[in-house]
Amino acid sequence: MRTSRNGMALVIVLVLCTALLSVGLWFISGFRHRTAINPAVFERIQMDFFAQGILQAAMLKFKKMPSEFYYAFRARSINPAYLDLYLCKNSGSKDVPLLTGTMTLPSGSFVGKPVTVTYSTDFDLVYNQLYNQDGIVIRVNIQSGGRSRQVSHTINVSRHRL
Amino acid sequence: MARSCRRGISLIEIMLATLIMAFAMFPIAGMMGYGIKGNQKDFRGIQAIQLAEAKLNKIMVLDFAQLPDGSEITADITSGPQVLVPLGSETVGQDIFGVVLTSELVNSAFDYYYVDLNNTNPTPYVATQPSSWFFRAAGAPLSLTGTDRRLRRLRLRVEWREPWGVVRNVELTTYKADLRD
Repeated sequence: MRTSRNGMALVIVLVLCTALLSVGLWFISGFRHRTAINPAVFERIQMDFFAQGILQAAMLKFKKMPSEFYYAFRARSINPAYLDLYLCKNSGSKDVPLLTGTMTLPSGSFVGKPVTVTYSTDFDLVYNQLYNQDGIVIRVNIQSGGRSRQVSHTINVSRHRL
Repeated sequence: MARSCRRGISLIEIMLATLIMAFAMFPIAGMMGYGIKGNQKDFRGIQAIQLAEAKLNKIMVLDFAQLPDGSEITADITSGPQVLVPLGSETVGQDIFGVVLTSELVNSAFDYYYVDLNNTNPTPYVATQPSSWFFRAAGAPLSLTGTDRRLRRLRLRVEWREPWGVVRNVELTTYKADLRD
C-alpha cells in the first residue's frame, strides 16, 4: 500500500505546474484579445468622425448649389444618374474631399497602421407640397476593414419663390 | 531498512518537487508581469482614444467662427474669458496626456450639372416636366479656394509617454464646414 504512493509528490507538483501554466496562458491570451480590440474601437471612432466630416462637406455643397440638387432629385425618376452626378458618383469627380471615394487617414503610433476608408453619400428629400419646409436627409455610408457604418443627418430647408 | 529508505526518497521527492515548482514559477511570474504591463499600456491607449473622442466631439459642436486656425495648437479654445475646449496638457488618472489640434482651411471643388433653361432640343424646357430638362456638365467645378474656403480639416492628436520612455499617440481626422449665410 505504501509503495503505491511512491512518486505521488512529483505527480502533484507536475499537476500544479500544469494548472499554473494554464492560468498563465489564459491570462496572456486574454491580453492578446484586448490588444486586438483597441485598434477596432479606434477605427470605429475614426469612421464616425470622418463620416461626420463628409456630412459637413455634403451640406456645404447643398448650401452652395441647392437648385442643382432639386433638379437632380426630381429628375431621378427619369434617370437616376442625374442624382449620382450631383453626388459625384461618376469617376473623375473634382469634389475635394469627395462625397464618394477612398481616403487613407493617419491613426497615430498606438494603432500603428493608417485607417483606409471607402465611403459614399446619398441625399433624400422629405417634402410636403402643402408646406414650404423640406427635410433633406444626408446619409454617409462608410466602410473600413470589413466594418461598415452609416451616419445620417437631416436638415430643414425653406423654399422661397424667387 | 526498507521503510527508512522509502521515507528518504519521499523527502527528496518533495525537495525536488519544490525546486521544480520554484523554477516553474519564474516564467509564470514573468508572464503575469508582462500581462499587467500590457494591460496598463492598453489602458493608457483606451484613455487616450476616449480623450480624443471627447475633445473632438466638443470641437465639432462649436461654431465655425470659434475654431482656431493653425497647426500644432495647444492653447485652449476660448470665447472671451470662457474656456470652451481645453487643449494642451491634461491629466487623466495618473497619466498625463498632451492634446494637440491642427485646424486648417482646405480647398473645396464641387462638380455639378445644371439644367439648361434655354435648351429647345428635343423639347423646350418646362419647369414642371422633368422629362424636358436637359442636364449639362458645368465647364468648371465650383471652386472654393483662397478667401472663399469654407471647409476646415481638423486633426486632433493625443500623445503620451510610456514609463519606458516611448512616446505614443492617436490621431483623429474630420472636417467642419462653414454653413453661415
